[in-house]
Amino acid sequence: MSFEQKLLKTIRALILIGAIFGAICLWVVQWWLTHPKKQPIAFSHKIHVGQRQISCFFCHTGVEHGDIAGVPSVQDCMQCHQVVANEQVVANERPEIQKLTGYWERKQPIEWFKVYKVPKHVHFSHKVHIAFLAKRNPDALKDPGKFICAQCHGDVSQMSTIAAPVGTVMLLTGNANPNTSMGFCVDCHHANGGPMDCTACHR
Amino acid sequence: MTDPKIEYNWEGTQWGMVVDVDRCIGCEACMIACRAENNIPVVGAEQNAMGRIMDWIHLERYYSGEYPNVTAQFVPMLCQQCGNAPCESVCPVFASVHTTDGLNAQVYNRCVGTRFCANNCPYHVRKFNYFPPTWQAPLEQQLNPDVTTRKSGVMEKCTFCVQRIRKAELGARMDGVNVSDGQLRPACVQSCPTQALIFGDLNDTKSAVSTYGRSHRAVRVLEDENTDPHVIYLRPEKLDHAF
Ligand code: SF4
Ligand code: SF4
Repeated sequence: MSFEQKLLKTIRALILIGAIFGAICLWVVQWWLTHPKKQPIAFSHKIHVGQRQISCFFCHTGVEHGDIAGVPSVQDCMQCHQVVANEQVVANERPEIQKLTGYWERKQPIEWFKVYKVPKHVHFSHKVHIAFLAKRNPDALKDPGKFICAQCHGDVSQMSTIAAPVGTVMLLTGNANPNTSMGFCVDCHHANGGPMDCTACHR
Repeated sequence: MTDPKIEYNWEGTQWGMVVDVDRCIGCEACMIACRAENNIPVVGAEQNAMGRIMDWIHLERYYSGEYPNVTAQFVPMLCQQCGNAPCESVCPVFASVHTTDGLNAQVYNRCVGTRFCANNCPYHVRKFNYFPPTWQAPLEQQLNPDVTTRKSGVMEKCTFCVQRIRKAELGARMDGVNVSDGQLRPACVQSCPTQALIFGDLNDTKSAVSTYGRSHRAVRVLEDENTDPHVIYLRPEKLDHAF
């Protein structure tokens, strides 16, 4: 084999290895971006909001009076679940509720994975937005999930897992609905006469 | 030749402050309050000696007279929220922008750290994060959640406690009223024991700030720079050394 042939062979081999390595990297990146992150308990909004018709405000108690909506404590969950769907008969069919009872008995909080995130330099207040939407449509407070929350969070009553795009996907796509990108906020502020000052959110 | 002095007639609310120099006793409560309210990082003695202290409000001391008859005059110096701000025109990314209510806003997430604004500020009140901000334990436990913690490479300065302004405005808007005079106080104003600092709407002719602003003692620092500052100083009655 001449030197040229050897060189050609080496280059081909290098290109092949590079291509395989690149493909693996791309696959890992796309998996990291798109795979849904698993919550500790497979809580379903579809059952609670869609079928059982529980108001959003019932569990997310901070939402009407504070900046942060908040996630219910295990205690709040057990208020209902000590009775609801926790009987011995159905217990074996409801592993997720068993998990919840486990947390309750161990006196351990549930480490939910946060889905709706705004960056640290954004200061958002739920209270103000709810007050505004309720003022615009006085009937909205009768079914806040449909008329208020859905404006940004989508129709939660149809979602078994809340799938908001997270992290980089949000940055890359930016137009997924529901989303928390600045464009989404600014469009709505523009259309509805919200404050357009930088300091309204960034301070 | 056109007159270089341009008149700015800002409409609506124009936030402003009055600093009564005669009342200031130099206790530095305002500096501490500002630190606590606005998550100002602690840089340490070495950086401090290099002039990299981060205080958004600082005290300038002026001495006059011969020993033993020496008088000291304290002048609290904070961002003057200029209506015609020299820092805004040089920022290449519009991180330093003016709001409609007369604030000179600093948008941290836009800032790329060119430091043009600090070089152009005649009052030396813009502070630059040369290093990632740090707080000695347990200070990092008391950070104000309403204020962003800045990163290294970002310029920061007094905001007139814009988080308090926006909160009061939103509260008033939800109740369908206007923010009343004296209801809204930035951290430094709130903590000043001698009430040397007064905050309010300069366009409201009945507000305390505009009343003091019409006083014969009212001066604005470096007014001949045509910066149109929103902070009005009440010059000392006896001693006008400082101004
Ligand atoms: S108004 Fe607020 S930010 Fe400005 S010096 Fe006073 S406390 Fe600090
Ligand atoms: S708190 Fe008031 S009296 Fe004390 S230094 Fe500041 S302005 Fe002066």
